[in-house]
Amino acid sequence: MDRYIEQAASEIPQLIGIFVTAMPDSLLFSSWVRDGTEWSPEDVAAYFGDLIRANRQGLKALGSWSSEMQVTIESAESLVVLRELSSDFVCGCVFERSAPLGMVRLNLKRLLERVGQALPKVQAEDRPRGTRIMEFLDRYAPDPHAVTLRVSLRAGISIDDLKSPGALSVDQVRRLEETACKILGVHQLSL
Amino acid sequence: MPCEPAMSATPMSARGGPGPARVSLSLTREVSCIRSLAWRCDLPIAGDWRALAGELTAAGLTPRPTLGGLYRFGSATGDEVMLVAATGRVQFRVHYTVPEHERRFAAERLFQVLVYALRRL
Amino acid sequence: MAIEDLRGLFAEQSLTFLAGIPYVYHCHHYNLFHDQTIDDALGEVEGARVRTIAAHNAFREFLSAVFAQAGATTPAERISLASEVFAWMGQGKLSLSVTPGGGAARSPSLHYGYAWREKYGSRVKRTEPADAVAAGFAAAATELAFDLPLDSISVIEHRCVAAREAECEFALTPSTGHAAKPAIDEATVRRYVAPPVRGVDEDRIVQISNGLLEFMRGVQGDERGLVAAFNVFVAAHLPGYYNETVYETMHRVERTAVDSVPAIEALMREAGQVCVFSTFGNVLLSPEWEGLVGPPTGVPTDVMSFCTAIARGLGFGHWLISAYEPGKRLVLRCTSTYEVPFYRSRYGVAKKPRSYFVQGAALAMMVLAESVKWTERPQLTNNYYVELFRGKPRYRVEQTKCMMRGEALSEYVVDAL
Repeated sequence: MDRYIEQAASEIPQLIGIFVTAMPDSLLFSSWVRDGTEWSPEDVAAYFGDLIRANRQGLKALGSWSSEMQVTIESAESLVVLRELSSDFVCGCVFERSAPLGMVRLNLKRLLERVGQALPKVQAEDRPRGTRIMEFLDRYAPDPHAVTLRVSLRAGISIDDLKSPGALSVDQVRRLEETACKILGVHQLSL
Repeated sequence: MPCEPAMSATPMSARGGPGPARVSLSLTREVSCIRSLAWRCDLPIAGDWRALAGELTAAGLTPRPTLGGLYRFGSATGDEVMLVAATGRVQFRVHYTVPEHERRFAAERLFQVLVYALRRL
Repeated sequence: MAIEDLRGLFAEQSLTFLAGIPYVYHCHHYNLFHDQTIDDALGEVEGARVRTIAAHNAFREFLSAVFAQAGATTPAERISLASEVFAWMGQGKLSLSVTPGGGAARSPSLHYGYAWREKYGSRVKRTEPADAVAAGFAAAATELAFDLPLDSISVIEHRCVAAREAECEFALTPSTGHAAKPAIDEATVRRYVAPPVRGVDEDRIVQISNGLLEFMRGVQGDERGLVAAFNVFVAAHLPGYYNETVYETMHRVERTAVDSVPAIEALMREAGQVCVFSTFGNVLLSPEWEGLVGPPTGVPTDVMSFCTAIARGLGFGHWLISAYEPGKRLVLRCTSTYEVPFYRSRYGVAKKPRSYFVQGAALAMMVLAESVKWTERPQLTNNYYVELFRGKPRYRVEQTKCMMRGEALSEYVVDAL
């Protein structure tokens, strides 16, 4: 898949990177970045997936959700476009800020068609909630280096048990989720 | 690793003719704990630091107490300029109350003060 | 009397005092992580209560000494001086509007609340106030201004900049008082130090730490009562606060949640790591340091000496390098720390090594000396911290001697794994 994306990307000037994220867990499925770019594809893919999910939920709350949703982010240095290819995959494309919008739209349409055709049909596994919560904390908790210890202390779950979050009991997962909400300052997790 | 350059400048000898070689300066952001507060450029170490300090004072910066080979100056808005004579390092420290999106511009203004001071040497 | 004149120095032990009460410098990273750890262990409500009481006790002890030494006798003098000292310390500018029956305090710029919002505000939403230290201070200042007994004023912070309010606000109300415990002052501290020992590279460490101590003499709060130095927010703080919060929390966890002891001990050590990475690291990369010592060389033995000098320069005590084999082992010793006098005076002899902060600091010093490419001007970001300290451990620290246990000095051995 990576080589396929690389081929598709090489034809597009001013494209800096492409990330395909597998949902619902926001895991990196495939990526390409231009030489010299120092990004962590796993991190970028994860955040893009979370962004699409949050956007979807926000739009649903407004009664405006549509499966044709696209998120465009303009920053000083880049133009980021995120699009759901299917319920299982999100594609994020990062262009140079100077890329003309018309060219971006044209190239994007072609690119997404090609990428979409190459994606496999997947049966998403229901990964354990404990695992997904710990991964979410890893991404969003303010002091990621201390997350496991903080959770252990707050939730009363031993450090050893937290090494295998997928094997936590129902009660432990409940306490873990409450703790994660507390650490992140949210009422519920976007999982 | 050094961060993205924000601005560059080439001060020239004020006297013209045979004088110090051209110096090319670049303002870059230093990654510090408080976002976009600290910016940097590097001067040749064979400079006349006293004269430069004098020019910066004349430009409105106030000398501050210091130690060792460090020159410190404060602006009216609480920003700081620090010069390390032994290495030529210059740090522009924008005041923490400046909103984050304006800190780069504040640093560029300080950088310009330095560049003009160098031109007057 | 100028606040600077209240300063004292126990030079041979690198311990600093204000009006005869110990004080040290820490940066906002350590301060926020410390408070967060207390709350993680005890929960937000109880954590805030323990932190506020600790601050109340520490500032009561401190302000008593300040008022006595400065000759401040009237309520107006004492309230004014208290606010001035708090701001001088870099703790923030707090306006007190109080009577013997209580009152209010407010500030738009307190070290904890302001720094929390700066560091975490864009990532985490906070509803609980962050300024237990200022709260405790306000209660202590009010009691002493009107010669009231300890704990006769209770305080609550009901608005906080960290919770996205415009200002921090506190309400002070009457409470029942009780007798204060004896102060941990310079005389007490001197009872719990060992004769200073010369370590490796001692002469250079002494020279640098003296330079840093001299530099710190000029560091004080700005017009907002905050100190931005070395590219961090720094505050002069009272070890009594740190010590009471740490040890009350530890003892409580040991009594009521013994399975959580490994986690809390690890977090207390982690706080020491955070301090060395953030405070020492930013000092090493600062122009202030470059002017005083020069840019970091990246040579492990140099960095180890520099870190030891920084510890002394910040008033942490007489830390010395007993032995250092790069890539293999560090033996760090202390003939004094800011933890020991408090623990011994309040709790007696400990049953196990209790110097968590220095344990973590020693391990982090090894990491900084051996894993950081200083000549490449590293960025001391959260991601870099994770890169250095997470993943497969490369070092292990053990405190092999502890003055809290009654031993002659404290010793920390860091081994490469």
